[in-house]
Amino acid sequence: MGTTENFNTTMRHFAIITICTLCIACDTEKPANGNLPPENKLVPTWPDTRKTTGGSFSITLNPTGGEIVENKHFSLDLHVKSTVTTAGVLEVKVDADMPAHGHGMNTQPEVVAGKEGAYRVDGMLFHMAGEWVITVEVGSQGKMERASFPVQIE
Amino acid sequence: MRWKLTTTAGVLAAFLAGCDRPSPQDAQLSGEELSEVLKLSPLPTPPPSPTNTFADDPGAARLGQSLFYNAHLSSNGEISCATCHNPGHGFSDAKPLAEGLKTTRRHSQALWNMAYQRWYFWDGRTDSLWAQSLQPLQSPDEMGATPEHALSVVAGDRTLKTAYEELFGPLPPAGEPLDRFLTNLGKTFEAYQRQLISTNSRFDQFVSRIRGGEPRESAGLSETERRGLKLFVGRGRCILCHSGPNLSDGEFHNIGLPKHPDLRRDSGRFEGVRLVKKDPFNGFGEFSDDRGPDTNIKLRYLIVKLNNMAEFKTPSLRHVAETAPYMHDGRFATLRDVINHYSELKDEPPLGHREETLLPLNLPKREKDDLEAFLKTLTGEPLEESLLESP
Repeated sequence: MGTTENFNTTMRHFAIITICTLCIACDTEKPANGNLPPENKLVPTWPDTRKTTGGSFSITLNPTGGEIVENKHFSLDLHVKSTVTTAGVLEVKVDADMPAHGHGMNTQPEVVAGKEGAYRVDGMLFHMAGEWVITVEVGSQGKMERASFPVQIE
Repeated sequence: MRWKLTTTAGVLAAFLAGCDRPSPQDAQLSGEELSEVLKLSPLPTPPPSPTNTFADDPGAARLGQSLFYNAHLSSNGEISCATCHNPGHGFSDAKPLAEGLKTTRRHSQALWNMAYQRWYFWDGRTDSLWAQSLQPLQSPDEMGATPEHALSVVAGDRTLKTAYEELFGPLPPAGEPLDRFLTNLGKTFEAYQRQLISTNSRFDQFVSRIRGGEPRESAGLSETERRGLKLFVGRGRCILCHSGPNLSDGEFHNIGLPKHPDLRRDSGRFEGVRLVKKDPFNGFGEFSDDRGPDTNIKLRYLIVKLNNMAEFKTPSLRHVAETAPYMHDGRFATLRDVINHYSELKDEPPLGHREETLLPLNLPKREKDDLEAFLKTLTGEPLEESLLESP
């Protein structure tokens, strides 16, 4: 009987510790504003900033006009911040796909460089509702890094 | 023992039959489905046609209407636009493949709501309705008119000549290039066709009543039709491509149709992109009226991709019940055949690959009935009689 009581007490403590740990973990992942972390959300709060795969660049995207509407051409304001010193002229490419559909846009976006890391991306068109992923490739001298921005179009 | 087995089987059969019988809840739209439904109606005012300054000119529309029904424009004097775009058949053709001077390789598209489209023809090989009009007029398989023949028809008819010259100035003299003259004819064809707008279907009335606060159950669609609508915007995911108030995304998809037994393989949009880019009558050409710095965004950024192989334009579903047969090659005689295709998706396309979100729906007969019943609610009111013949 004593053994059973000890086992129950141990399990109770284990459960409490597990719940506390989970709560702490949840609280740690949740940003102060209560939104899901950027890695998981499909409907980003614009502007959305993400690091490239190699960590050399921080990319900020913002639809010109503030939103993306299904089946309407749109432009993006894009900003590249280098966290390392890069050699040569930065190359920036933008495209978008629907991973679940096996296709992307029917357009080829055009990236126009502005001043101090600012770019404008024209010719974007999400012709269907669903999950799109905007891919930004940045680099120089053939060494490109990539950042992906999932977007849910309703 | 036999009695017990029979009774058990009977009870089971009655239970299963009861399961198959739809309940009122099956027609109940969820909040998410309702928000999708509201996106489908009403149709807004048609977008402008920036490459055609005559697009909404009543005089141009009247001339375009005269020409649309004028068989003298064809080389044999027997074929008009209305031959294949029959107003008595939803401005489409009951034949699977269009038949002009010869049989073509595609079905005549219905002309309802063309003003809302982004591209024209099944492969989108023109970027305006006026540029589209020039091709069947001159195609040796369709009307076979030379520019000189078209000029002689207009010049030889006092009413047509006067109407043309009031809009565009004097007809070109013999021997002059006729591209501008043809373009002007095309722009009148567009002006007429922009009036072929679907209005006030039973589905539109249903949405309007819901917006007005009426309960969905008494908003004008039967339970069967509402179940079909629920399937259309929900599990069937038809709205992925048949989106927006025109029930078309205006773009192109490969829907996994197998090879047509009597036709060559058709690359569809893959070739269409190349053709629209080199079309001298496209929005970048000298005959376009759109000269601003931000013109023709749709054409400027257009690109051809392998994915475009065997893609065809999503047709509008407005008036779909009256425009059989269906698909770019008219292979399906009935709406039920179309629904069966999407339900089964048993074949692979001969070119390209099927849109990956298209998966067999495996619809039972009752759901096919529901979907078909809903599609029939998309027929709008008839147009004014005066638009259905030469003015």
